[in-house]
Parts: sequence; C-alpha cells; structure tokens
Amino acid sequence: MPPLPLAGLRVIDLGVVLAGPQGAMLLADLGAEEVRVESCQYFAPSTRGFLARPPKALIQSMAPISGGYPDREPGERPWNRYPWFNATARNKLGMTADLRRPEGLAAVRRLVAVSDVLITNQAPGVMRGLGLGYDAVAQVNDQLVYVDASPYGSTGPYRDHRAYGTQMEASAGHDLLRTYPDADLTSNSWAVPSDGAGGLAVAYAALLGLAAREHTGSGQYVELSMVENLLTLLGPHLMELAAGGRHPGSLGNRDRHAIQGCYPAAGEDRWLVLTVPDDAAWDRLARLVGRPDWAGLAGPARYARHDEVDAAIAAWTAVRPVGDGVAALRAAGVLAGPVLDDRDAMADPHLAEREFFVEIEHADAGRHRYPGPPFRLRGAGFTVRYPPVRLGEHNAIVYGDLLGYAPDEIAELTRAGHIGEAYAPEVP
Amino acid sequence: MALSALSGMRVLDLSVGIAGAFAAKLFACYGADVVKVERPAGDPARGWGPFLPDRPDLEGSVPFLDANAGKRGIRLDLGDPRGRAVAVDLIRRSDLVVESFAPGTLARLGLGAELFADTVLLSVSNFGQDGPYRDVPASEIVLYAMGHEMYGTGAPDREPLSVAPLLNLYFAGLSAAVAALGAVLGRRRHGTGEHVDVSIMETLLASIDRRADSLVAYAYCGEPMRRERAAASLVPGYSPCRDGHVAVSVSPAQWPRLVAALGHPDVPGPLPTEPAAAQAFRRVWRSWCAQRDRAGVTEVLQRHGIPCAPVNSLADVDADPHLADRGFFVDLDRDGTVLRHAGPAIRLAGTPGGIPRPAPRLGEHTDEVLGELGYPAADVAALRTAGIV
Repeated sequence: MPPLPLAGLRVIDLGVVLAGPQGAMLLADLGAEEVRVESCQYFAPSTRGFLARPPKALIQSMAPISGGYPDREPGERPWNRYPWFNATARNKLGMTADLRRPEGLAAVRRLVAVSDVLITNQAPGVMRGLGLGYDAVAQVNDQLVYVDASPYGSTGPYRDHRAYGTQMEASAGHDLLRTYPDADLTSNSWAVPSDGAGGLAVAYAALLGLAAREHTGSGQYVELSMVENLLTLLGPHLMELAAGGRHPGSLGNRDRHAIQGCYPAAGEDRWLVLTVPDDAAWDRLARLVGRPDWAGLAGPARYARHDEVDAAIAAWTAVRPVGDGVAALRAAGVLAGPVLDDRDAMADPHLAEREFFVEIEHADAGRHRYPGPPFRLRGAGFTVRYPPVRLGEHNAIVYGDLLGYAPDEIAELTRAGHIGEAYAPEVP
Repeated sequence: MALSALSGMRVLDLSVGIAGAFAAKLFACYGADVVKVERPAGDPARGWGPFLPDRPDLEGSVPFLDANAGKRGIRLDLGDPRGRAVAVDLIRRSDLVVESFAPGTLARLGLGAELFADTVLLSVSNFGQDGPYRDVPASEIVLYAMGHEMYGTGAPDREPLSVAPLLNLYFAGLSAAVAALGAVLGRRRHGTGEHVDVSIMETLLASIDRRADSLVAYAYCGEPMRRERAAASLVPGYSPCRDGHVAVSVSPAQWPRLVAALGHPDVPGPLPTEPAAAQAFRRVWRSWCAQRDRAGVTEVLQRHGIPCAPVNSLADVDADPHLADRGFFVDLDRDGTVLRHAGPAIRLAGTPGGIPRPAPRLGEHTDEVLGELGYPAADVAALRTAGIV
C-alpha cells in the first residue's frame, strides 16, 4: 500500500472546541504525525467537556449529544470520555504543558522547531498573549505554516468579537434560511454549520500553506474567518440577492419548483423525504397515493397545489413502514430516502459494506464504533493509528523521543505539573 | 501577478452538478488552472435555477455561476472517440481530475482506471463508488436526510427540517477538496497516484455540525439525538430585539460579566438558581433586549466579553461593514452583468488567492485550451464542424 499523503509531516494541534481539533484530525487521517498540546492547569471551554469533573446527575439531565458519556457515567477521568471531543481526537499524540509558565512555553517552542504546521482557533488575542503569536513562532521556525482560525478574522471591526457556532451561524445569515416557513427561528433547533465547515477549511488552509511552501521555501501566516467560510458555502444565495435584490427566504423542506418534502411513516417519530424529479415520476406518484386524477398535471400546476399534494402523500406514507414507503417511491422513479436517526445510521447496510464506521478500543471510554473520515483514499487507505487521544497520553514519547528531554528534566517537569494525565484539582 | 499557493497546478474538472464543481472551484481560488469540461448541451447545472433576473438561459444559472467561478471552460463530446482523445490529452497534463458522473460511467466511456494511475482522480458521488446504494438516485434532501442530523433538526412536535438549499452539496465539495489536495501533495511527495472516493452521504455523516458528535454519543450511551426544545436556559439562545433577534451564549462562569453588561438594579449579583429568580431575571433580560436593536445589544455584550451576534438576513450580510472592511465580496463583470462572489475564505499572507474570472460561458475557452494542447486551428475547426467541441 502506498504511504499516506502527509506521512513525514508534523502538525501541532492547539485547537479548541470543534473546528480546530477536527481540522487537525483530518490532517492526521491523511497521514501527518500530530501532537495535540493541552494543559493540566487550564480547562479549555467546551472542548473536553463543559466541566472537567461534571457531576453525574448533571450529565444525566443533558441531551445525549452533550451528556452522552459512555453509559452516562462521568468515570474517573471524564475529560477522556466526552463524545464531542472524542469525535475529533483520533490519530493524535497528546502532550501537556502549562503554557503560562516559561518551562511549558519552552517545550512548545521546541515542538514548533521540529514541526511543519501549527493549528489554532483560540479566542482572538490568546496566542499572542501566550507568546505564541505568528511573529514569535516564525522566529523559531520560519518554515512553519501557521493556521489561525477565528470567527471573524484577524482584521476588521469585529476582529475581537467572541463567538461560538451559534453566533457565527447567525452572523452568516443561515438561521433565517432554515426555519419552518410558518414559524420564526425560535421553533427550530440549534446547529453549528460554521464549525462543520470550519474544521474542513482549517485542514484545507494547512494544505494550501504546505503547497505554497513548495514554491516559496518558507512558511507563512494563514488566516481563516469561519463566518466568511460559511458564507462561501452560501455563495449562490448571496449572488442571487445581489443580482436581483430578491430572495425567497426559507422554504423549509420545499424545493422552488419540484414537489418535495418530509413525510411521516408508520411508527414513533419515523420520517421519509422525497423529491419528484420529472413528469413521469409525478404521474406514477399520483397513482401510488390514490390520486390518478392528478396524473398529467404540469409542474407549475402541481406546485400550486403543494399543500394538497403534501396531505395526500402524508396519508399514504403514514400507514407504511419507512422502508416500504421508500422502496415503493423509488420504484416509481421518485427520489426518496429515510430520515436516519443515529441508531439507523449505525445499522445501515451500505455504510457497513463500505466500512464507514470504525471500531476503536479506548482505555478510558471502552470499545465503540466511531464515524470515519469524510473521504476514502482507495490507494493509501485509512487506519486508526491512535485512539481518541487522552490528556497527556503520549508525554513520554513527545518529551523523551521527539523533543529530546533528559529523564531528570522530565521528572522535574512532572513534579512542576507540566507533564500529567489529569487536570489539577483546582480546575473546575 | 503574485504567486498563489496552487500556481502551476493543473486541474481538469469533468464534474456535473454542484458538489464536484465547488471542489474544483476551491483549487481555482488559490491559483490552480482549472479547466471545466462540459457536454455539448452544457452542464445540467446550467438548467437549475434560480436564474439571474435577465438571463433565464444557459448563461444565467446562479448555482452554476457561483460554483464554477474562476475556471476556464471548454465544450467536449466525451461520447465520441475524437472527443475522448482530446480528454485523454487533457488528463495526461493534469495533476488532478475531478469527476462526478454516476459511478462506473468513466470506465464505460473508455476512460478507465489505468489512465489515472499516475495522477489524482477525485470521484464525488451520492453514496460512493461501491456498496449497495451506489446506483440509487438521490436529491439533496435525500442525501441530507440519510447523512446529516436532519432527524435532530426542527421542533419535537413537527417534521424534521432542512438547512439552506445547496449547503450540503457545497459542504461535500469542501470535504472533497481537502482529500484531493491532500492526495495531490502526497503525489508530489511520494510519486504515487491516488483515487479519492467521496460519498456525499458520508461527508455529512462525518460532519461535526452535530452528526459525528451525536453518532459518537449514541455509540457511548445508546440514545440517538432527537428534536428537543432547548431547556429553559437562563439566557435564551435567540432573544428578540427592536429589529430582529440576537444569538447569545452565556456560560454560568460568565454571569458576573452579564451583570456588569446589563448594569440593571434588578439583576442580582449571584447567579439565580431558584426558578422564581430565574424568571425574574428573564423578564429584565427580555425588556432590556426589546429596548435595543441588534447592533446595540451585540456591542454592549461583546464589550463585556460575552458571545453575541445579530441574527442577520442575507441583505444584512450583503451590507455588513466588517465584510466590506475586509474586502470579502468580489464583484466581477460577466457580459455586462456584475456578479457578486463570496471571496476566498482562506487568506495566505504571502501567496494570496482570489477569483480570477467569472464562470465561463459554454465553450468560451475551447480554442485557447485546445491550442495549448497543440491542436492546429484547422483541427479545432474540424472538431467543431463535427459537433465534438
């Protein structure tokens, strides 16, 4: 098997929350050796959990996406069991250092000297405050590609604004493009498309920096605004508005021209979606749902009766198991599929055959299946070289083998709390 | 012209539709020479609305114009052997070939795997190049329903809800670009070709916009994500103001900052924990927001270090002073119509990107590109007469 594309390159992951760690993980999946830098003295908000040691009752009261620790138990080291974090943490080595003390900073500077990429999405100003701003880092290693992701970018009036994914989505105008057409945004659930896309863009930014280095022979500062990145994914909407001054706003689940929607299936909270691609599929659908008189209606005529059409489709789908409904619709030439919940997705036969999920044994979380990368390299493949990284898991390898610290230095750094595998007792 | 990150790189874009096209655009924005190949009738995406107000034709599809900006374009019939010969010449000089035909189509056209052994081939498809769903036709909402966290999006007593149209396809394109550029660097480093297989469904399953996280949480605790009303948090996620809503996040640790920001005699110093105290606070909060506009609330809260942003409309975004200050939008003239493009989101200090040109007219660069391949003008003319180009 050919080597992974980025084999031989080293990446420093100073990411927090979702996008930074995710972007770094994609580079690791592509073969880079990755060192995640954390601190036992500082608990980054919303990264390895919302608290270092959350009470059991609290996590059990939360929705699974935030409180879904293994078996709903915080365990002895909850920070190694948080699902959000562990979704973005495979294939990394982990080291700890207190960046706010000189010996910790010195260790990271030694790591900078032997690395190719640094990734950060720390809040504006944090890296410079630590002495790890681009100028300081470039003095140590001018070959380094420094990826700085932030909500609004490093210039402009909002450059210091703080934002999580929900603020970034609001800034980019997406909330108002995904409401129920008959209700305001408060009836919808939260989403963080800026993080989803931001993690990908962080990885792309690093790759662009590496490509540029082949031309220029040196590293550089690479800036990414996660709001702007989400806007690039909404490009056609912005272009349409600017060209004509009009945009229909949210259509909910509808298309602009084709019959399309989400319909109930038999059972508790089961749903399917469909799109009618052409006249032939429409005619067959009309007969299927018991309205043969609708066959032959042209596109605009059937679209004008969308509410009535929806009611007829829903009456037909609601009495059938979702799989039966989807199969019958597909046989009629309608584009259809089930709305898969997480359980359905994990049991899906197509994903099983493509080995999308990977089973990983984790010392603190146990053995579970995880979603794999969003791509498949048919030549070089994909392997889990390391399970989701535990706090300080590879301090011995990183300090000893990679950075060349002597055993007595390592002992001293351990005594001083830089090297460790648990948050300091005073960390909330 | 300044050197860009991907200067000198050649990309051949055989894709149809949106996801593959956006992946290829992400190379054009950072300096690669991207040539889009379209069938004689044009990319089917040229027929998808919305259209520019005065151009309801092949040159007016907004999704096509956005996803193909920055590229050159040629018209080529891959169904004819003479057209395929041109394609082979183009493939041989390319570092990356992007395609999004139905799986198996390239081989059927006689453009088999051996042709791509030394290059990077990016295949973008609905469900991937193999597996039981490989040939299942799908629309964007079907891919979203099967791949993304649609099940957990919306209100608990209503149907699951979509996101903005095209967002999923653009997201898949960005995912594909990451893998493809990684593979291109791998080819430069190790001399190895690669076939990158991107399933749009899988890009959505791997998204950390809740889906990948909720899949891990499900594996951990056995409970899938559901559509749930946000718990009555102390500060609601969306709060109404005079001119719309703001999105605010306040953690318990930030409570003192909020007290300082509101500066209101009825807001208690300590974090309210009793329901009555929380309710009293929310009354103050609602009226404080209702007296201000979005910009005013955002200014005060940000000054105190609390994450807050206005819930913007597209028109707000279009007129945003911050984006203007950063020169984010790129306005380009295309046949007398000025098109506004979202600019490249990644800014490389030493090797800047951009949008070098608007999307090509159908066949706009056929002569130019075939000339570069060494085809004499008479041969190009003969191919044109035969309807091949």
